[in-house]
Amino acid sequence: MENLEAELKNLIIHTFELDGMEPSDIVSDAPLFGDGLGLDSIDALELGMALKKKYHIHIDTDSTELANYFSSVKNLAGFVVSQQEKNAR
Amino acid sequence: MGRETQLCFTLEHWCLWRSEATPSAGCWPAGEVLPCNGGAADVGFLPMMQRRRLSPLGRAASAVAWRCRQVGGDMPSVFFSRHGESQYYFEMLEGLAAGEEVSPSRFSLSVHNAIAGLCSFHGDSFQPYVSLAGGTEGLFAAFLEAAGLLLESPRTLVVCYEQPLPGAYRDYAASPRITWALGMVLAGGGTGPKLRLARVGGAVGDADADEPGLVQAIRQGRRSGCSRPGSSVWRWSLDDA
Repeated sequence: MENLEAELKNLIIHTFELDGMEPSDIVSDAPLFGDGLGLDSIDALELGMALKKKYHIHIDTDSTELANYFSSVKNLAGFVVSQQEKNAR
Repeated sequence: MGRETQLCFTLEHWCLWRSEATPSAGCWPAGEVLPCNGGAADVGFLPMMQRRRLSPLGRAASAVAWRCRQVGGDMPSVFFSRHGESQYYFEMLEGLAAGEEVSPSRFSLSVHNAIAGLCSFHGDSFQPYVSLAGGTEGLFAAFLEAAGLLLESPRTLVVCYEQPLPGAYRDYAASPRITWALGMVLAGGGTGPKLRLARVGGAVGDADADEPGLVQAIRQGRRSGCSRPGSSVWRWSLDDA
């Protein structure tokens, strides 16, 4: 899981062109949106696209849990793992 | 609009950025050339979360707009570009043709008023911002709009910017060789050099092929000239106050 979190941090830095930011600057359970890292709603769409491309997972945009999955790197890692397990079944 | 239109502005400040080194000696008075900065305009004045949104063209426009606002304060603004974010929308079209998904952020940033919108965020501005494209008057359309805004405001910012078109378009439309952005703080009255523009309609000529004649004249210190942006002729001059 720690490896996946590090991978997601790199994905976030690369996707959002966060010049000069290191993976260690992103705290795994800190909020990604709003007052945390400062991502916005367009970034959420962009991140969804990047996740689909990299991990080949399905993102159900009607899910009421989606905001929670996207709230931090830690939750995002959990979401990616659960979707990958679903794909494997 | 009649066949002949005459405009007169006080040029309080101008600011030019070009993606190749440009000497500032011998330019028009009341302005400055920003450093080329290796071909990417310096936007270090912005926090990283705002900087990351800017394309090369957005950086250029934002840098000159920021500098002009430091001189003239917050004011109504006209943004002009003939083709805008042509690199972004061409890449998206290629992606769509290849069956790829469109990046939401690229899409939102490639609309024609995106750069104007970002610049208004940078300055926390609540002033009117207008974004203009193409048309038969070229960048002179921005001066017509500025003249209108000056009826309600003591000064107006005009920002014009262009970048080379993707190769696929170059057989069909004139493309500048380099990326450039020009900002001008214009006032209706007061002291300073007077920029006069007159439009004579009806004449047919060649569109400006490279950088507009007005931009060349500013950096070469040429004080008057004539441009044919499309189906009209614009005569312009800069006179000392």
